[in-house]
Amino acid sequence: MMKIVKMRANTAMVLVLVFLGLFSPVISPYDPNELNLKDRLMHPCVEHPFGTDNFGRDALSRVLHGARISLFVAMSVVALTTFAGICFGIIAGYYGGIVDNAIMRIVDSLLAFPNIILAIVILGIFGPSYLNLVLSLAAVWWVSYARIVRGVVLSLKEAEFILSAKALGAGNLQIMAKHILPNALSPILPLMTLDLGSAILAISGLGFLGLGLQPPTPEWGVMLRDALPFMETHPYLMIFPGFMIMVSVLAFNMLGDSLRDALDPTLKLGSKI
Amino acid sequence: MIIKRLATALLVMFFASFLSFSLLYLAPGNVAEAVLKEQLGFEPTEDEIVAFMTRYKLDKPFFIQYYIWLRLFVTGKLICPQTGESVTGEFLYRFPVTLSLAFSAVAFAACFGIPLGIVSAIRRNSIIDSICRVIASVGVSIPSFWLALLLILFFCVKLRILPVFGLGLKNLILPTIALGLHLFASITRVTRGSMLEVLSQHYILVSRAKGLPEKMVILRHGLRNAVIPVITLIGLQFGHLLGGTVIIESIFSLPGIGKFLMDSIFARDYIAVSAFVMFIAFLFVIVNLIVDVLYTILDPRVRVE
Repeated sequence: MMKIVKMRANTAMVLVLVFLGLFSPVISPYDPNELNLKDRLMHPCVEHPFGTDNFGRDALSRVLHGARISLFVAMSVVALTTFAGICFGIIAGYYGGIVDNAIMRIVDSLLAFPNIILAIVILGIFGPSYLNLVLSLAAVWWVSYARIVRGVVLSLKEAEFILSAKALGAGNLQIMAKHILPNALSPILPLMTLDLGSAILAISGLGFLGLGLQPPTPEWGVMLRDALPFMETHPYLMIFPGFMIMVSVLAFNMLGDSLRDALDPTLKLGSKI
Repeated sequence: MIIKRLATALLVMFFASFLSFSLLYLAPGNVAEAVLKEQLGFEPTEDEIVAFMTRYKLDKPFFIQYYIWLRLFVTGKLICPQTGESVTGEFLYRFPVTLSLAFSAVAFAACFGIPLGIVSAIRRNSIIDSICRVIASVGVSIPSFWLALLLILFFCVKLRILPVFGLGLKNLILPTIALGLHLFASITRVTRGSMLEVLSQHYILVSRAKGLPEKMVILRHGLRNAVIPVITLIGLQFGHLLGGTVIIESIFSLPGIGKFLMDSIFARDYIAVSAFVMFIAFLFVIVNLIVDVLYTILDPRVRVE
């Protein structure tokens, strides 16, 4: 019972975030990119609850739009990662042999790179853009999905229902898509949720380094970077975006954990009990 | 088993080098033009570019260039155009800074995380346990760069008790906390989980039944078995830690490999970038090997398999 309540609370947190992301243009009081040099660097007041930044842009509107951008990019990353991971994982597990060996060696060598380092280098060399940001993060992250899916496929390959599908004349593609894929989804669902959180962290980190999305995009990491010179006089310019990053990562982490507990009762982790 | 592990590590390194060089090779813009422009101070002519490319064998096909690059890298003769030093020299000069930062972060995380996890597990469902779990959840969600800024704001700007920049023991405190908090939170969590699992085993019951003092039961029989997943975690998280050093070193201006990597990226010095990617992959592989060896020491069951 407690578990269900907890799970609902976690889902609610994520839903609030998604709501902010979807409706940020409606609920934010100002245009996030509207310059108003007369009102620059205002302290929080009734018209601007979070103050204004060095270009006179309303900080609250920018923080709200940040939810939209972070969620959108994070979802793109996770969608691409999951797709690539599932494809490679199923192919490796199903065909086995040389194909499996080749894919798994690529997986091993990609694991030798700390994930953010490769993203930093790819973005540094090929230049920052939305597409490069998504690709550079997905380039490493698909690996963990491929591993999990491959494991599932290996354990299912010899199962009787696959054999019966084969006996009924199903083709390889049909077996992979219809019989194996649905079984591979439940173990990666928690990972996807957790990765949405990690993606938000990574995106804002790269934005902060100047390698992610570029100003004037109202992305939380970019806003933190922009707020650096005014840290002493206007600390709230960096406090709110950072706080939003923390809350959204927390929301996805908690939902991911409760999903994992719900889907895999054998797994004993600290979050349980 | 060790030989098999080493062979895998070598293969991984080979792939890593291939990937690093591919990045260098695929980098947009003409390296020759950029370097010549830097050296001459004005736009080089077509002939000069061609001469430069022939001299440095940049006109050769991909695999020959790769071979040359790899040979130079392995023999430590790869020169970083930005400073004129060999990349190995640059790496060795900056490595101690990053290593001390990473080590102090791991030490900080383990020294606080493991005891906290144990207490949390022993006093399960108490107030202490709840506090520990909140700390663990929030800790993994805080972006390290934000935490670093908050720490600077609080300790350096408001209280003025710690310096922001410089190289000394005092300067390492804030970067260590900012870098290590994520690992600290994960360690607390994993220690708690594995301790709970271990404490429910029969041999713990046996050791209590034969009258061992509780301290002995927890530390000698419980912790030794509970710490194995923690070691795995540290090994796995070491990569995150190396990634984190890039951001943290940039914020605190620590002259480590992360800061150098960022500087090289912004200076468009891709030779140094590719070499540093290799070094980082190498470090990561070595750490994972060390973790594997540690396993066999801590968990005799592994040796049998």
